[in-house]
Amino acid sequence: MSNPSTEALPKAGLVFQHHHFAAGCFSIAMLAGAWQVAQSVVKVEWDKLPNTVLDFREGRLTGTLEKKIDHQMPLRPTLIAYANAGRYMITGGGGDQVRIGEDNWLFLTEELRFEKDAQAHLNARVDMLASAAQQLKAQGIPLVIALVPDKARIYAQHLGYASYPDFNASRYSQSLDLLRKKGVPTVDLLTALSQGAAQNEVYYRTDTHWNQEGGSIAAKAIANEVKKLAIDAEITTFQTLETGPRTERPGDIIRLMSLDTVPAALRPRSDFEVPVATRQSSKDASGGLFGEASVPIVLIGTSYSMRGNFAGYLQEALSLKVLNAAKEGGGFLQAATTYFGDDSFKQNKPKLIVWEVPERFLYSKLEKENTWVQDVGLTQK
Amino acid sequence: MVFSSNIFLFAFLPLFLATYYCMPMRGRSALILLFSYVFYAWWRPDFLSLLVGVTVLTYAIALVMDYTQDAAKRYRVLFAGVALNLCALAYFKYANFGIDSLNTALLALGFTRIEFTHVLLPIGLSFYIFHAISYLVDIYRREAPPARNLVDFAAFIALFPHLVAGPVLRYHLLAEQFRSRTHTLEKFSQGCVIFMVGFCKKVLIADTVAPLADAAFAAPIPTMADAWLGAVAYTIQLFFDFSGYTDMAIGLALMIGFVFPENFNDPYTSRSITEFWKRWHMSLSNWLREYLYVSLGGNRKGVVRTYINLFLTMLLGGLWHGANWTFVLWGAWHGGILALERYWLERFKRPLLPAWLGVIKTMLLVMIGWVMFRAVNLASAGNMFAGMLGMHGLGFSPEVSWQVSADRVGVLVVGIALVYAMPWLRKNKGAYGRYLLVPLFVWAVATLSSQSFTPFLYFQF
Repeated sequence: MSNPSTEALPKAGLVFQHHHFAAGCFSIAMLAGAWQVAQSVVKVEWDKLPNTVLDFREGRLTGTLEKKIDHQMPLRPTLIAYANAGRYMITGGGGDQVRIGEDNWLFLTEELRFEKDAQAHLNARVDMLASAAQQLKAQGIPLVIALVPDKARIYAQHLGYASYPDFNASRYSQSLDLLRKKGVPTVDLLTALSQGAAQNEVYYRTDTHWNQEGGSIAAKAIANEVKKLAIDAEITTFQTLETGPRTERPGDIIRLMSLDTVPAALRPRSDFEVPVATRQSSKDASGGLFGEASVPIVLIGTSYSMRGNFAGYLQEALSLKVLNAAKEGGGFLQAATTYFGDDSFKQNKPKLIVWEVPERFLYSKLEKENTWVQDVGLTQK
Repeated sequence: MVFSSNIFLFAFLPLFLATYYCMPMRGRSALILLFSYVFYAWWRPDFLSLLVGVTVLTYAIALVMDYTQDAAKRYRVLFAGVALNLCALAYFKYANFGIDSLNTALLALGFTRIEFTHVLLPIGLSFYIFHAISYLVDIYRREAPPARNLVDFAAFIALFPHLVAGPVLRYHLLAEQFRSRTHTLEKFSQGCVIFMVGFCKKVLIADTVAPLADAAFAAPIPTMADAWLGAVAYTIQLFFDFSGYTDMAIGLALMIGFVFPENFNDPYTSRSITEFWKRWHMSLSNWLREYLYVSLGGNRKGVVRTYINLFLTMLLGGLWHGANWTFVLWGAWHGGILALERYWLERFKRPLLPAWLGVIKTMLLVMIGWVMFRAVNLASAGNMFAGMLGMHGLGFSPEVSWQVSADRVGVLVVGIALVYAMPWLRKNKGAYGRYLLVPLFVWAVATLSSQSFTPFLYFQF
């Protein structure tokens, strides 16, 4: 039997003549990493770690400690940014959450994903919205749904090698039809934004959301629908003005890829825009202050309501004051749950509520939709 | 602890290497043992007691066996030692499977099921039990003297480079190195390079193509495209994951002077399944041949027994991988093909196909085997095979298509290219690789930070 200590050293793929150089780099990396770990260990709040004997025996103490050390390493964000930049530059990949399209168009994979129980989720949410609309109507408050189409639907031609998936192709029209059949006034933003997209870009290339052009188009489409309801409220005029020079705007998908801190050459080209803001241009006849009892329209929804000056454009298009109660990153229900549970709703009922809903949110995993209308107290009034 | 983690790379390893090289030779086994126990206990300290128990018991039994002169008694002591080790393996690894299978049968026959609290499988158990058995058999066969003390033996069992996922080492090949081994800059540097190569294989290739395999194997009705993508992706993932892991193990061992035998030798270029098993997970094949096939009688008991032994060795080798009928089927698949190939060669004295066609045939057979190996149960494996035959349609299903991204497919193609180009690159253009290793390693370390925890596939065995 041969003695392995006398055998040739094992090879692992390529043979490196300059292995001492590589070993030197490896040793430097170990030492640099050890310094990082040491800096991280200093920050660990030991008293907050799992501290029972069982936690120790079953590995929860070491598991949590490792996670804390990992996450608190000072260089971690930079490493992630450069690793992702390397992946983007070399393989054109954007990670699990991002699909890289053509010409710096970036998309969320969430818009392309297959949801196994999509139909059941849609039905549950449509029932919930119909019930909410009915309860609000009984209180004299019309509810208008603004259904936001996927960016990947409108800009499918920029998805590159991929295409907008067939299994999602009809979900916008199906959602619209179902909501309308249930008697919920729903604005078709797809038609308006698609027409707009033929003239100008209506979504940011590097962001999930509509841009100022898209926000303006969506606001006008919603205003057209709301005007049909003849809301009896004090007319207020608004004006949208530029507030600064054209500036670079790296979108939220660039942040999702952790590339917002790397040099511009290592990431997709950012969007540019001239910032605008909408200001009231007429005096209040009743003298009420913005945000108080006199605000006739309330906007609830998601981050779309906080991008592209959408809420401002909505005020301008409606000539009515709008209280923007949307929430960033809260999913389908959070803004509505917070608003309906708040005193501002209970004490000062608005004349109308606009609920902005991204289409993908109607299909995603259910939260508390089945009991939500009761949970937020809409049925008690 | 996992090799591809910050805590290992930047805390455990530098601390270990620094103290190891400051320690005089006589204390190094104790140091290896201490660090290896910390390495193991990092996962779950309570299961360290099992590792210590197996170690102490095996050491004591081997001592008794070594002092026993009577051959029959020695055999009985060996039998008891191997049986005790196998009992530990059976309880922790196969009790759930046995009771679940029994309950299925009981329910089918109209009886009530047996209530049973599921047992957690200690990480690395299959590997250190095999190491312990190897020690007992080698001492019994007098192929190596017993370890000079318990610390040396415990360090052999617990040696962290091979503790949780191999390679499966035979004691007599490593015994001498525990007594004396050299430490040179050459060895250390080679070890670093091999470790870095393995690290890149795991983080940059295996982990990138993993979502493709996961998506395909999770598809409820996999189409032809889904199933083939899944089979190919898993074939690449498993190779780069496992060979990456063993490269890291071999590299780490080399950093502290141990020379481990190679575990992979371009297995996907094999022209037959027989050749494949001489190139894939070689340490396991050697272990199975030396301790199982030979113990069953090998080819010394006639033609029929040779075929039966060959088949049984692979069947048990399959079951060793996990308590699931899929592994039994996988073992039977390989055992059956090995027996057929042996029959063909003995009968016709030449291979069935020309070399290039043999490689394609072998890859197909291996991939079919991997489908059984990866599937969660037999029904799922059947579902994948139906998909591969086109019985559920041709194009990608919605469940899979949205997860097929250009970068993942690109890395999959790079993986395939590397598998087949590596023998040629090694011979001809290997030197160019040196320019790539350091940047790729840095990229892999950075990528590690952005990934969630991804254990090695062989940790589950």
